[in-house]
Amino acid sequence: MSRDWRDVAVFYRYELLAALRERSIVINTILIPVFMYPLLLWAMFTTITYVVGQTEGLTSRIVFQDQTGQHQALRTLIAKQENAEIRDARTAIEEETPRIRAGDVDIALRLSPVPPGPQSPPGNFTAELLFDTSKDRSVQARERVEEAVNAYRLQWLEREAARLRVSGPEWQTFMVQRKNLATGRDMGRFLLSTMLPLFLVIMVAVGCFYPAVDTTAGERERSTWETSMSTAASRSSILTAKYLYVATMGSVAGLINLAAMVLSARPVLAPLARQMGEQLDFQFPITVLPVIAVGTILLALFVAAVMMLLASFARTFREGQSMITPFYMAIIVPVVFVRPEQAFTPAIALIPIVNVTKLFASSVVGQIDWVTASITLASEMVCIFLALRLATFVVSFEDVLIGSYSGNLGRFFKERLLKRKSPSAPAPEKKDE
Amino acid sequence: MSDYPVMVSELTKTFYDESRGEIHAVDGISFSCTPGEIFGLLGANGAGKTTTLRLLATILSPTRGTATIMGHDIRQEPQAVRGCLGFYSASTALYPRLTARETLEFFGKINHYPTAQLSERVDYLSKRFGIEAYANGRIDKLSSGMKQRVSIARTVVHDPPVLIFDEPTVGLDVLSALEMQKVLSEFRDEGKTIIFSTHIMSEAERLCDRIAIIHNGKILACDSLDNLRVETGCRYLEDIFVKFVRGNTETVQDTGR
Repeated sequence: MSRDWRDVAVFYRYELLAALRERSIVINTILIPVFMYPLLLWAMFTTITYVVGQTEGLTSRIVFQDQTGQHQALRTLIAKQENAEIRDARTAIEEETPRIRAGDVDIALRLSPVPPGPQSPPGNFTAELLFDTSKDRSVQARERVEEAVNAYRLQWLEREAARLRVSGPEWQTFMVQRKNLATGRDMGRFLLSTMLPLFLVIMVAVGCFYPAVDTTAGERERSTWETSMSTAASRSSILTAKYLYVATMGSVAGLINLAAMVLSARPVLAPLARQMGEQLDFQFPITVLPVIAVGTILLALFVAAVMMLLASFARTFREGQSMITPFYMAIIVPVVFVRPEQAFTPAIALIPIVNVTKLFASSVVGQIDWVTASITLASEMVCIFLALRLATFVVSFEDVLIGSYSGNLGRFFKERLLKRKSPSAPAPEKKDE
Repeated sequence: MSDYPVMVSELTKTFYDESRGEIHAVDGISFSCTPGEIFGLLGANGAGKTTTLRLLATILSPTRGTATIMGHDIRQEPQAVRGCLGFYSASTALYPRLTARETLEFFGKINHYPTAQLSERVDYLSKRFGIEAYANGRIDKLSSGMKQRVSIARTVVHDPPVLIFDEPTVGLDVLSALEMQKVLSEFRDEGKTIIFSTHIMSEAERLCDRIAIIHNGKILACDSLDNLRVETGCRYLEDIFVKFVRGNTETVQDTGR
C-alpha cells in the first residue's frame, strides 16, 4: 500500500473544509462539546436546587396523638417548626393510613406508654411514625418530625439522667463525632473524576460518529465516493486522509469538551453546589492536562478506526448509523459502570476504553500512576494498530471498497473467512494502491 | 509507449452473485483507441459498458486481461493511469459542500496538475465553461446544468490526454445533451482520446469516429459507422445494432440447441 502524504494532506484539508460547512458536523463536534455538558450540568444542579427548595417550602400536615398525656411539650416543639401544621387525632391513628396514602395527611405520630419494668424506667414511651416514602412531602414531614422527636428525646434523657444523678458521659457510653477530612477541592476533584471521563468518552464518540458515517456511507449515498476513487491519489492515501479527518473531529470534540468543562465547572457548578450546602472547588492540576489530551487523541484514533471499519460496509447514511450505533453504545456502557472506587490496576489498563476512562479519572484527582498510564497508552496504540490492520484487510476486498458489498462486518467475516468464499478477492496486482 | 493511448487486451471482469453464480460482466474484450478519436461503446443496459469503463478508470480491477492508458498498465500502475485520464459518469458526483472553484482546485491538486499553473488553469476553465458567475457558489446550491459544467471542468482540470465519459447525457434535457456533445467534439479537436458509452443511437452516430457494439460483455463489432454500414448493408445505426445483437443471440440459441 503506497501512501503519498501530499495527497493525504490535500484530501484531509478538503475533508475538513467540507465538514466545517456541514451543520450537523459543526453541531456535534463543536457546539455540543462546548455548550451541552456545561449547560446540562448547570440545568441539572439548578433543577435539583429548585426541587429541594420547593420541597422545603411545603407545609407538613402532621396528625398527633399522645396516649400518655404527658408530652404536650413535644407537640409544642413540632408546632414551633416552620411549615408544620399539626392537629390532634380524634380516633385510632391507624385510621389515618388511607389519608396518608392518598396524600391528604403527610405523617401521623403516636406516643404510647411502655409499662414500667426492670428494663424500662417509669414514664418511658414509644414514638410511632406512619408515613409514605413514595411521597416527597411525606418524607419531608418524617424528617421534620424525627428531628423534633430526637431533640425531645435528648432533652428527656438528660432530664431523667439529672434526676437520677447520672452525668452525661456516664449514660452516653460512647459518642459519635463526625469530621469530613475531604476538602472542597478533594470533593470537587472527586465529582469531576466521575463526570469528566464519562463526558470525554461520549464526546469523542459523538465527535467521530457523524464524520465517520458522512465520509464513507454519506459519500456513497451522494455518489462522491467513486469521484474520490477516480482521482490520481492512491486508495491508501484517500483512506488515510479520511481516517485522520474522523480522528481529528473526535479529538477536537473531546478536547473542546475538556476545555469547556475545565473552564465552566468553577464558575457554573461551584456556586450551585454552595447553594446545596457543599463547598466544592473544581480546580485540578493543570499538569495532568497533557496526559488527558494524549489519552483523548488516542481514544479518538481508536474510535475513528473502528467506526470507519464498521461504516465502510454501509451504502447509505442510515445504514452507516445503524452499523455504528452498537459500537457507540458498547463504548459508553462500560464507562457508565466504571466506579471511582475501583482500583486502576495494570489488568484494567489493558481493557480498551475502560483504561482511558480510569486514566482520565486518576489524572483529575492528581493520582497518575505512570506504570498503569504507560500500559494504557500502549494498549490503546495496540488497539489502534489492530483496528487499522483489520480495516486495511477489509477494504482490500474490491466490493467492500467500492460499496457494492451487501452486508455488515459480521456477515463479511462469516462469508469471507469462515466459508472461504471470496467472490471478489483483493487485487494483489495493484502494487501501488 | 505504443502509438495507442488506450489499448485493451482480453479484458475480463467476473462477478459472483449468490443467486446467479458467476456473471461475466466483461468477457475478454480487446480494442485500441487513437489520439483525437471518439471511441463509442454502444450497448443496451447491462451490456457491460459501464463495467468496461470502470475497469479502464481502475475503479474495478480486471479478473483477466489488462489494458494500458498512455502506456500505463491498469493492473500495475493504477495511480498513473488515473493521473492521465478524466473519468465522468453518473456515479461521480461533485462534493456538495465545496464551491465550484474549490472543486476545480481540489481536482487539479489531487491529480497533480502543476501548482504554479493551477490558478490560471481554473480561471481558463471557468471562463471556457461559463462557470465564472457562480465559481464561488456551493455546489449543492447550483442547478443541474451548472453542476454539469463544473463536472466537465473538473474532469479535464488536470488536462488528461484520455477522457472517459460514461453515458454523459443520461438525464439531461435536449439542450444540455447537445452542449455535452459539442464539448466532446471540442475535446476531440484538441487531440484528446475519448471513450464514450451510450445507448442512444443518434448520439453515437453523430459523435463517434468508431463504434464498438457491446452485448453480454462481448464486443460484437468494432469499426467506423461507414464500415459497419458496408458490413451489414444497413443504413441506420439502430438497424446495424439490432442486426449484430440479434445475430449474436440467434447464434447463442443455435449453439444451445
